Amino acid sequence: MLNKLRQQSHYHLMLIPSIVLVFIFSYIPLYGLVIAFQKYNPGLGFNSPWVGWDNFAHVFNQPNFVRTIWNTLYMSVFKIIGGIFVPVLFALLLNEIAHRAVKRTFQTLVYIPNFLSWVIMAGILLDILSSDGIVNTFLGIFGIQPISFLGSPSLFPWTMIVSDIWKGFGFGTVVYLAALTSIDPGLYEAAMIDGAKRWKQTIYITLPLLMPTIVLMTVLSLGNVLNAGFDQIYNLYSPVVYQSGDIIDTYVYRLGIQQAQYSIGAAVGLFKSVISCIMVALSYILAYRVAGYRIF
Amino acid sequence: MAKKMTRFILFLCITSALLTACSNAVNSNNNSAGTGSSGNKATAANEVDPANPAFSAYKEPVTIHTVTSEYSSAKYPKGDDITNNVWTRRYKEKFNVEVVTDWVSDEYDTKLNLAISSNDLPDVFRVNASQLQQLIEADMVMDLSEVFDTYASERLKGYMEADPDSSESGKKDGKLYGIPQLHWGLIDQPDFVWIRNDWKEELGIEDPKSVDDIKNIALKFMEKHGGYGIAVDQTLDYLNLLAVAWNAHPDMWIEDGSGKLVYGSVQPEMKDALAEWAEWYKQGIIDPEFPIKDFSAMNADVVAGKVGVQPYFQWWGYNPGVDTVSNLGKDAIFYPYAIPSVDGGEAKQSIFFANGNYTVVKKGFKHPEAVFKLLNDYAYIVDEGVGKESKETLSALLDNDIAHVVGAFRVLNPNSDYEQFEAVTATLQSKDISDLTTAGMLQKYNNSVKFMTDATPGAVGDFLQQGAPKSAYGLAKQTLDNQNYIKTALWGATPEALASYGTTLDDILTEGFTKIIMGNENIDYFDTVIKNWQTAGGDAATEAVNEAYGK
Amino acid sequence: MIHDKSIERRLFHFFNYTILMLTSLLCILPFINLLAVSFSSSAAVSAGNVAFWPVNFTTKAYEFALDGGEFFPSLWIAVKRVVLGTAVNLILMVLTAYPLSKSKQKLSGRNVYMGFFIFTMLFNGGLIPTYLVVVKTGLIDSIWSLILPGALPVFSMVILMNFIKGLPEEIEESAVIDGASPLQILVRVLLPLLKPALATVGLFSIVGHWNSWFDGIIYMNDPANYPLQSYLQTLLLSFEQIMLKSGTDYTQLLSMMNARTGRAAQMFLGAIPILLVYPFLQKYFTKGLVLGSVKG
Repeated sequence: MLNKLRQQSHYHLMLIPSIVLVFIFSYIPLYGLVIAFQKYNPGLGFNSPWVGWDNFAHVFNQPNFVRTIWNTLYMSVFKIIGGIFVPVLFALLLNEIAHRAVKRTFQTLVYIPNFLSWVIMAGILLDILSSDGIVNTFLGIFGIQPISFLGSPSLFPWTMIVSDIWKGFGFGTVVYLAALTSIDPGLYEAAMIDGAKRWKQTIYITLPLLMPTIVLMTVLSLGNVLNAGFDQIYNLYSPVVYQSGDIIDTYVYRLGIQQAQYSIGAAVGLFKSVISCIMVALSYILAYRVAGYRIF
Repeated sequence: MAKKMTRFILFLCITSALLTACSNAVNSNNNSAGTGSSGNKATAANEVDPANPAFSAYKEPVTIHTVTSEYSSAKYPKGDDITNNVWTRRYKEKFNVEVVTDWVSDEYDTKLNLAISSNDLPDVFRVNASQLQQLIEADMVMDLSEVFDTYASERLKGYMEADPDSSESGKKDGKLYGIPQLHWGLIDQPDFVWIRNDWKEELGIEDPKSVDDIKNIALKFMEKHGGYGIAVDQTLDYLNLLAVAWNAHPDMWIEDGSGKLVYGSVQPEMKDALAEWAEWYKQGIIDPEFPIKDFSAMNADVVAGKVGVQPYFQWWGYNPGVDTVSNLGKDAIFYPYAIPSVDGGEAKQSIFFANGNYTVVKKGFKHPEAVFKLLNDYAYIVDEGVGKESKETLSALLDNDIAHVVGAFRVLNPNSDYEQFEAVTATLQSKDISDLTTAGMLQKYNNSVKFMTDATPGAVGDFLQQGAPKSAYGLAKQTLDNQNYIKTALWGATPEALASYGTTLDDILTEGFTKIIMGNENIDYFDTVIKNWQTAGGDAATEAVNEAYGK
Repeated sequence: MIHDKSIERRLFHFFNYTILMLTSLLCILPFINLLAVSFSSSAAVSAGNVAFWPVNFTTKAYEFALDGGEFFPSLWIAVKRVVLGTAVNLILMVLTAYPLSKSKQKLSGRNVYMGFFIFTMLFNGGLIPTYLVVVKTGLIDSIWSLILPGALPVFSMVILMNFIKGLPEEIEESAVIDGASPLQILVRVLLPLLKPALATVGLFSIVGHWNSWFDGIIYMNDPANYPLQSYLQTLLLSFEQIMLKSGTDYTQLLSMMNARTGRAAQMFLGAIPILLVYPFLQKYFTKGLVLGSVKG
C-alpha cells in the first residue's frame, strides 16, 4: 500500500494546488448554506434567527411556484436536446469543408453571438419578432397572418428554446470540432480503401468516436436542468406569457425584489443544487450502465 | 463506502469548525464596536464657535469614513474624482473634516449588504428602508435624536417638518436612527394624459373634459392617422395611471371608509376601469401589442409618430419628448391634461411614499454631529447659496451633476420643486432673472426659453415640465393646492410580511388584468383574480399592513 | 485532402455551403445591427429606424465612453486579468486533469478526488460567504480576487480530462520506457498532443474572464481597479441616469445618444479587443493532429 502510494505520489502532488484552492474558495463558503434555514439579517450575519424549513415552505407554498418548475423543466430539456443536436450537426458540416480559412471564418461567425448579452439580444429579438418585424413581414409574403412569437403562451417557450440555441450553439461547436480534429485520419483512409462512402464514414466512424464527447456534454448540461436561462427570459417575458414562460429563477427574483432576500435565494439555490445533483448522478450511472461511458 | 462517508463527514466537521471560528471573530468585533457612543460633551471643546454648533468648524481635524455609489454622469474637472472633489475639499476647509471614502460601487446595495455582513461598516453611510430596519434590529446604528436637536440647522429641521411622514419613517420607538434624505417634492407625483398637439389642433379638438373625451380623441386620431389610439406597456403601469378616473387607486394602500386599510388594485372600482379598458382594446384603441411591449418599445411608437395619446408621468418631456422633437419636430410635442373623473371634474390623484434613502451613523462613531454640519452645509449651498456665494463656487459645487456626488451627506428640500416652479413661472412673466435663487431654477428657466426660441430638442423636458403654457407642474400645483389627492396609507417602511412576497402578488393581478383587457377572459374573471391574490398572500399582507399602519 | 468529384459530392458541398453561410449570416446580423445602432442618433434608434446601417451618423456614444479616461487603464487591467487568469486556469486544469485521467488502480482515491471537484459544480455557498472568504484571504482590491476564486474551472477540466483519456495509452507507455519522468511526459509528450483541447478550454477561460464584470464591482473597492467590463457596466448605469437628467450640460448629448445607443457602443467596445485576439487562437482549433504517425 505504502509502496503504491509512493509510486503515484507525483499524481497526488499535482492535485494539491487545485485541492487547496477549491477547498478555500468553494468548500469553506458552503457554510453559507445555513442562511437557507435562517431569517438572514446582514447585521446579525450567520447568527440570524433560525427558522427551520420556513424559507422553503414560503417558496413552495406560493400557488404559482409549481408551474414555474414545470416551465423550467420543459424549456431546459428542449434547450439541452437542441443544444447538443445543433452544434454536433454544425460541427460535422463544418468538418466537411476542406478549405481551412473558410472553415475558420464560419466558426468565428457562429461564435459571435456568445459575445452579446441577453439585454442586447432581447432588444434585437423584440424588433425582428414584432408584428411588423422582419420575420412576420417575410411570413406575410406567403399570406401568413402576423404571429405573436413573444406574446402567445403556446409559442413563447419555443421562441426561447430556438433563440437560446441560436445564441449558444457556437460554444458547443468549438468543443465538437476539437473532438473531431483528434480523430485519427488513418481510420478514414482505411474506410476509403474499403470503398465506404462519405456519409457512411460519418455514421460508422465519426459519430461513434464523437459519442463520448456528446455524452459528456449532455451529462454536464443536465447539471443545469433547473436553470432555464434567467437573463434570456427575464429580458423577453411579460405577464401575458407568465403561465408558460415564468421559470424558477425569474419567479424567485420577483419574490425577492423588494429587499435582498438572501435566505429565500439560498433556499431555492439549495433545492436546485440537490435536484441537479440527482440528475447528474442518474445520467452518469445511465451512461455507464447502458453505453459503458465513464465520463468522470 | 463507509470509509468514504467517514472521510466526508470528517471533512465537513473541519470546514464548519473553521467557519465557526471565523464568524466568532466577526461577532467579537461587533461587540467591541457597539459600546462608547455619544461623545457630545467631549466634542464641544473641539468647536471653534461653540455658540453656532450647526456650522462651526473643528479645532482638531475629524475624520469620517464613508462609502458611496459611483455617480458616473458627474463630470469632474481634471484630477478630481468621487473621493476627491470640490465638496471634500470644502469639508476640509470649512469644517476641518476629512471625509475618506472606503469604497465606491455601482452595485451599492449589494456591496453594502456585504460590508454589513462582514461587519466592516464605514462611519456614515446611506441605506434604503429595509437596510435601515435590519441595522436597527442588529443594533448597529446610532440613535441620533439628541445630536439632531443640537446640531441640525434651522433649515434642515424645516425640511423634516415639511415632510413629517418621511421624518417619522426614520425613527423607531421615537428615536431617530436614519435621517431621511427626502425628495424634490410631491409636485412631481400627479400623472397626466399626454396628447399630441399638432394632431389635436389639426382636427380642432377641445381639451378633454371627461373619460369619453379621451376615448374620442384617440378614435379621431386613429381615423386620421391609422394605427391604434393609446400607447401603454406590458406592466400596465401606464394604463393604470388612468385608473384614478374611476376612483381606483392601483398599487396603493388606502382606507376603505370603515377605517380598515385595503389594497387599491383589488377594489371594485378597479373592475369598472378594467371593463372600460377591455372595451377600448376591442375597438383597437389600446395598442393591440401592448402585452409584449416594454417601456422603450412603447415609447418607440410615440417617437415614430404612430400614436398621439399616452398616459404618462410628469417627465414625458425628457423621455420620450426629446427624441420625439428630434424626430418629428417641435410641433409634435404632447401636452399634459389632467385626468378627468367619471363623476365629472378632475380625478383624485394617487400620492405615494417618496422617501427612499436614509443617512445613518455607525454605532460607536465619535463625531455624529459632524454629519449634521455637512448636511447643514449642503442644504445651505443648494437653497441659499445664490447671492451669498460666488457664481464660480456655486457652479463648481452644483453643475455637471457634481451636486449629487456627496453620497451620504445629501438631503433635499421637499418643497424645492414647488418653489422652483413658482419662481420659473414668475420669471417667465417678469423676465427678471434676479428672482431665480437656485441653480436649478436658472437652468429650468433658461431651457424653457431656449425651447421656445430655438426648439432645441434637449430643452423640451424642462419646457414641458415647468415653462410651457400647459405644463405638467402647472397642473400638479393645482392638484396639490386643492388637495385633490389621496395619500397612501403605507407611509414608511413596507411591513415584512408584505415585502416577503416581492412583486409576486402584483404579478398575479397584472397577469389576470391583462387577460381581461385582451378579452381572453370576461370581466367577471376579476373576482377570480382577486381570490387568487387573496389566497396567494394578499390577505396576509393586508393584515400585516393594518397591524403596522392601521388605527 | 480527398478529392471526390462525384455529382453527389458537389451537390452536398453546394448545400453545405449554403446552410453554413445562412447560419453564419444569422449569427452575424445582430452584431451588425448593434454596430449600426451604436453609430446612430438617439432619435433614429428610439423610433426603430435603424437596421444594418447607421442613421444620422454620430460617434457621441463612443466619445462618451472614452471621455473619462478610464477606458484604457481598465482595458489594461482586463488584459492582465485574462492573461494571468487563463494561465492559472490552464496550469491547474492540466495538473488536475492529467492525474484524474488515470484509472482507480493507478491513482488511489481517484474517485474521491473526482467527487470532490464535481461537487463544487453543483453546490455553492453563495455570494456572502464567498465574499467573506475573499476578505479574510486579503484579496480585496487585488487582481487575484478575480482569479483565485475560480482558479479551477471544473467544467473545462472534465472536458480536458476526457480528451486525455482519449489519447492512445501507448504514447505514454513508450515515453515511460524511454525513462521520462511524469512531469516530462506531461510537458513534452502530452501537451503538444493536447493543443486543440487546450485551445478550446483556453478560449472558454479567456472569454469567461473577459466577460465577467460582477466580481470586479464586488471585490474592488476602488473603481480604478475595475477591469474593462466592470467599468463599461458602470457606464451603462450612467447612460440611464442621463436619460432622466435635464441639465443644460446634457441638452446636446441627450439628442444624440440614449441608453440604447450607449449600450450598443459599450457592448461593441467590450467585444472588439477579444475579437481581434480570436483569429490567432483559431489556428489551433482547425489543426488536425496526425496521431497515426505517432502511433506508427
